[in-house]
Order: sequence, then structure tokens, then C-alpha cells
Amino acid sequence: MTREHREWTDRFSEYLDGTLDAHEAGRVEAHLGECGACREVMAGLREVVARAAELGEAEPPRDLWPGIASAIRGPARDGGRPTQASVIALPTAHADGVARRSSRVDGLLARRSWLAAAAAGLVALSVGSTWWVATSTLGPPGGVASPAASSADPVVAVQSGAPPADLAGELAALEEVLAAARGALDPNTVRVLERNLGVIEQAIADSREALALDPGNAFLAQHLERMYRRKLVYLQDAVRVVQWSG
Amino acid sequence: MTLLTVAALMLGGLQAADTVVQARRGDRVVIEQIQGDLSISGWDRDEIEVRTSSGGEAVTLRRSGAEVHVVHADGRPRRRFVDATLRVPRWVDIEVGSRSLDLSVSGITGALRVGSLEGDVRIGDVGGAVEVRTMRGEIQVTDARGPVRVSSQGDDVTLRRISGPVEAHSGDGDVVLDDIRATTVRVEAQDGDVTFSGTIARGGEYAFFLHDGDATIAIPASTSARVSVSTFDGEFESDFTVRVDRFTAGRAFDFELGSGDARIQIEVFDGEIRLLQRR
Repeated sequence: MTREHREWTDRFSEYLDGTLDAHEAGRVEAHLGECGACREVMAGLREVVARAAELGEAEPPRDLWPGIASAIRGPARDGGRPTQASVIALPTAHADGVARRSSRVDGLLARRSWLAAAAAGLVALSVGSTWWVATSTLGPPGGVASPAASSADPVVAVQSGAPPADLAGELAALEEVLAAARGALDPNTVRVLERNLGVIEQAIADSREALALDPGNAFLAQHLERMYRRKLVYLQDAVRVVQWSG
Repeated sequence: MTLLTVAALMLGGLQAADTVVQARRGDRVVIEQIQGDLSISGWDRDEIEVRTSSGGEAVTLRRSGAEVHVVHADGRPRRRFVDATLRVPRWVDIEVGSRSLDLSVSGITGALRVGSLEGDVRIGDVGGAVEVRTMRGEIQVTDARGPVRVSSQGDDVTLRRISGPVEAHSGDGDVVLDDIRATTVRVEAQDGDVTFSGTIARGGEYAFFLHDGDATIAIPASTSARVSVSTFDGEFESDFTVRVDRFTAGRAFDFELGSGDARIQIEVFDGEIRLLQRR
């Protein structure tokens, strides 16, 4: 998609929300009349809105923020470094819980705001006050993790193909937030996120399949663990994108 | 404004509504909610200046404590694409977060942090720490003297003439590291090739982890390193004479080059491993 298209598609949510003034709304409509690609994007967005409408009026199952805030206030740091093992207990909202919040078009922006808050909380919890901290996948700055250092207990955990125990909770929580946010993101963002996630999921699937055939292979166990850690970093980044899109 | 100034602005295609802010040591430039094209360059003045091209949305500078924010002039975020040039003191730290931004940065010695959903990032001649994360967009860093940590989930990563520690990742793209003089290097790629050409420092640590792609590692003939190679489904080729000390698993083994001063680790799930002598 060209920059010109992106400039337009970024305004479609505002158009659907009715927050553009008459002049700007007219410009969007005129562009839609001329541009097939943008009409396609708009159609996708309308479909999202229509699906939300079918789910009817309802408040979100629970407000995510209190749990996130209390988790953030807790001792989430260790010597100034983020505590990756800290996992918040997210409410057991279904992935489509967000869609139930409102059937109105103008609910899109409202949904974004609390999803962004949830996303912000998870990011803060996962990576400290900023998302630019060292990740377990890339290792400490200026250092190269030795195989022994990166493959202690988690290797045993992943020999079954499951995520390492220290990652499982956070992976699930992040996936839940992203699933909930999906309907409120613009189609282009969703495409980018899903495409990238597909690459990692494929790598995990490859590794699990190989490990299933050769369960005692330490290389495969370490490799699978690395893929899961990479997925965690990806999800953390993706949640950050939700904030930008909120 | 003199006629000469007006003429210069017209020739440069720049609006007159530009902003200059005096910079103080310890200041940080923050760029958020800006989409479009942004070029940042360091200069020898203690001033931060933004100029907007005539075709783009106007942006301005707003100080908040020790932070100078680049914001839309009308205060409304994400309305239109920006085409702007920012000049900053070389020493200033810069943080960028955007959904869609093509960014170029050059000539700074402060720390640089960039995050974006999409957009290409080109960085050159930098002396401080560099961190870039993008979901979709190429990353190029050249002539960096500090630590470099970059990740593109969906595109290529190219690093050239880097002397600080390197951490590079691509989810779906190639990673090219050329003329690297770092003492520590860590590279990951899920779906793409990795090419490394550089020196191996005594006591240095170099790690390459690939899922689906080929690893080509070109190092000097005089390299002294202990090398660990692991592959699940791939071949290993070497310009060096390899005498395997230890098979640690089916396709995993260690060997030494010279007296084994540095450590090189190459792990590939599905792909070829080539260890070449750098010409």
C-alpha cells in the first residue's frame, strides 16, 4: 500500500466514528469514489463494525486496568532490571470480549482507549518502564548467552513441545490482549501483525514437529525454547503497536 | 524577513513556520504520533530546528522539562503525513515511536531509539547506542561506533562498519553484517539468510541462530576461535581445515581455529552453514 493510501486509510476510523468535519468527511468520500484499494479497506472496516453490532450492547466483562495497575505497582523489578517472570492475572475475558462492549460505530475509539491501557500495562509489566530493555531472546547488551545459560530448566520444559513454564503465562496474557484488540485495529495493522506472527508460529510448529520425532535432541529443545522467547518479544512489540494504534 | 531569505526558503521548498528551540545538555528529543518522512541530522549548534516541506503537515517543537517533543502544529495527531527535517545537537538523545515513518538519522553521538509499525530506517555515522525495532520495514545502519541492537519482524536488516556490540534480528528477511569489528555479535533470523563478514576479536563472542535460512560466515584466515556448529537439517561447508574435537549430537560438533581465543556459535534448524575465509 502506498503512503497516499495509508494516509487515507488512517482516517477511516475517524470517518466511521463520525468525528471528521463535513469537509474532511467529504474528502474521504470523494477519495473512496476514486480508489478501489481504499474502498476495499473501508469495506473490511465496515465488516468489523457490523460484526461488533451483531454482538449487541454490553459492557466489557471486566475492567482490565485495576488488575494491571496493581500488578505494575507491585515489586516488578530486580536490581533495576525488569522481572520477566512477573505475570499478571488477566481477567478471563474471551478474545471477543472487546467486541461485546458496544455495537455502536462510535464505540471503536472507546474500545481502543481501554485496550491501549491494557496494552500499556502489559508492556510496562513485561519490560519495565520502557520497551527498550534487553530481552531474554536477544540477551544482555554486549553479551552472548552461552547455550548452558539459555538452556537450563526451560529446555526440559519444552521437550514436550509446550512453552517454557516461565513464559507460558505471559505469552497467554499477551495473546489475549492482542486477540481482544484485533477488532479495533485498522486492517493494515492487523495484516502486518498477523503476517509476522505467522512466521514465528511456523518456526515453532517446525521445531515442535522435529522435537516430537526426536524428543531427546537437546539442540531441538533449545531451538524451540528460543522460538518461544522470540514469540514473547514479538508479542510485547505487537502490544506496543496496539498503543500506537489506540 | 529579507527577500533573500524568502527566496532561499522557496528554493528549499520549506515553509517559514519552522521552529527553533535552544538545547540544553541532558535534553532528549521525543518524536511520537508523527507519520511520514523524517530526516534527522546532527549539527554543531546547541539548537534543535525543525523544518517542514511545503507538501506535508506542519510540525513544531514543544519543550516539556528536559524533553523536546516534535508535534503536529495544530495539536491533532495522525492527521496527515509529515515530510520534515530535524537538526539537533550531535550529543542529544533521540526517541522515536511511530506507526508509519520512513526515518533517516545521521551525525549524532547521543543515544537513538526507534520503534515503528512500518517504515524504513536508515542510520549512518552515529556514535551512541542505537536501538531500532520495527514490525515491517528495512533497517540499515552504517558507520556506528556504539552498541547496535536492531530488529525487523518483516524485512531485511543490513549493518555495515559497526565497531560496537551487535544484536540483530529479522523475522522474515535477510540479515547482512558487513565489515563488522565488534567484540560481541548476536544474530537471529527466523526466515532468511544471515551473512557475516568481519573480524573476530580475541576473547570475542559471536552467535548466529537461524531457523530457516543459510548462514554464511566470512572471517579472517588468522582467526583464533572455538567454533560450535549445530544443524538439524543442513550441510556444513568450510574453507578452514576442520578437525572435529567433539560431536555433541548428530549434527552438532565443536572445533578449534588457531588457539581458540574467541567463541563462535552457529545454529541452524534448516539451512546451510558456510564458514569462509575472508579475502
